[in-house]
Amino acid sequence: MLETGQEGLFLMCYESLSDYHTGKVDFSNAVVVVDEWAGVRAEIIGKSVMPEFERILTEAQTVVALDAFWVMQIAIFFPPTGRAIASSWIRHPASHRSL
Amino acid sequence: MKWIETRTKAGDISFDHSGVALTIFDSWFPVSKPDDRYIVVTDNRVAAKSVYEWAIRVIGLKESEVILVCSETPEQNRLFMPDPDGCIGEGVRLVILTPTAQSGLDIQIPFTAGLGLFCGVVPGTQALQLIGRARQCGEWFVSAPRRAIDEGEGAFDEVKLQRCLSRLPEALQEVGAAIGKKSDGWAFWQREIGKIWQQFNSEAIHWLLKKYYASVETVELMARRQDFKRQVSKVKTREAEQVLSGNGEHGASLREDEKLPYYDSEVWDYKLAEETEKYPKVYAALIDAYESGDEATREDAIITTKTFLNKRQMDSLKNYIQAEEPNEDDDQALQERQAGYTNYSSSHFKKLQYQELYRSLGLVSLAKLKRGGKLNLDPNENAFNENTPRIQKLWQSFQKNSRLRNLFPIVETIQDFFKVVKSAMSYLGFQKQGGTVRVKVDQPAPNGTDRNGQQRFSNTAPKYFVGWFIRAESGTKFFCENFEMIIKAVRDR
Repeated sequence: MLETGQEGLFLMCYESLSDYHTGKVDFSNAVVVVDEWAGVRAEIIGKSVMPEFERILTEAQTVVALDAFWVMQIAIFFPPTGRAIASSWIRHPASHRSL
Repeated sequence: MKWIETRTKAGDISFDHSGVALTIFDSWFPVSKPDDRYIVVTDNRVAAKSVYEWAIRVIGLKESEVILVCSETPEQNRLFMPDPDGCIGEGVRLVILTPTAQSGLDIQIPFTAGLGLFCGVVPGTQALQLIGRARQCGEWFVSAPRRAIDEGEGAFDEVKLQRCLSRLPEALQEVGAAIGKKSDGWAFWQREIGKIWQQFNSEAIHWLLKKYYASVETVELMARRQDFKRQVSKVKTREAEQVLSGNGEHGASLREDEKLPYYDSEVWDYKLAEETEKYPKVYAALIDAYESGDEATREDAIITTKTFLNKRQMDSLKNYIQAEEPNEDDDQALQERQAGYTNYSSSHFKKLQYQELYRSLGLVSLAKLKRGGKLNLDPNENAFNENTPRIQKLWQSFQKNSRLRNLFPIVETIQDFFKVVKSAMSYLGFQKQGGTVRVKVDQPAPNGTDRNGQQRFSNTAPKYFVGWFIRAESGTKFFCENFEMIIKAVRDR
């Protein structure tokens, strides 16, 4: 479904990213939301799914990074897509309650 | 929110919190009312299982009153994850969660009290997320033991970060990896900051708790260390038995089909298959001994299995063999992996760094300590710091070696250098022993006061040194006693 560019909401774990599984998918039309950004960012960097993850972050139309610990996130801007993150930086007043 | 500290016999803040869970249980259960409900969250699977067993065996809770969610309970997890509140329902009195319960989980049912046990496996932010799973909890206790801070840790500031990043392409080029990837800087940052996170995990969690919770109070507890250690040992023995009685063929077929365990029993089939792939001969012999041997043979098989299941110990031994006994196949495989996607955080880059350092500088000569007799750290002989001649000599050879210099962009001073030497030795599994020794100093050093309160000076001062045990004597007692057998099994892999 992803490959044929069908509309929809797709939930994926990052382990399922690979050249074989998602390599042919065009993300230039997609909004990619990464939840638990700090944790994902720490875990994914040394893994074999990294090249594909990097491609998605670079090519996606918009990347939204979500994390409850906004104060910890000052250094997280992923350079290529920092534009997307920085321009929609939202601090929800009740964010800490939803931990 | 209660922050847990324990003390050593000497009365200092202790780095060892094992057994605080049992102390907390002592305060919870004897007085609890039937409708009291408790939760334990931890980042350590063995701790979770130990607490679970303790609750049943010693506290006397029924199995139906305790829920354990970890990677070894897939049947339970399938019921629990979609409907935790329904699962907990009326009868459950204790819920134990590991990071298998991810952030989506939402438990609305109220708890009387909760306990968080964190040993640095997950970063502080994720530890807080785990605590946050229980939306309503009367009182939290959090244990996150501090770590000893290695002397000689070099500071890492913005300027140094910039310098390191500018040298990063050389490091990657040195191993034939593609350069200019957008995530290269991120990978460098993540690995270096990861170390700091680990070192200051406890402080970070404390800071986060203070930030997100109204009050954080410190409580001092007597930890039941011995009881807990015995319980952990029982859990590990049980694990070894479960692996040895697993169905290896079924596990292998699961692995072949890229399926994860669906039933609880398949966890052990899978694990056995995984281990057998690594050490086929060893496991064939162990299973044979376990199935057909007498009592003593069975016990031996279980102890040996416990050793082989100690992933950290076995991995570092493998690293050691690959560094110590260069082998074309291994080296070529590593080279090939480098040619693919490599960054500063990837495990094969790390392996190559430490292998190079170890081989080119002959770091094996630093490991001189032996067991038996009194351990004597001697700065002229077997103990080192950045001022000892041996390390200074190695530092000079390092500086002359352009490949090494390129591979370690982080090393700028002898302090940095000694730090990576320590990391390399630990990566290869050499056991470290630190200690303070009085040594001669050039300038008189303060040395207490005389009976009139006057400052005294002496020409010696206490300095901190580290030494390493020789490889065959680094590790648990059983590991050292059976080193030859174990190293042979890893060579044969």
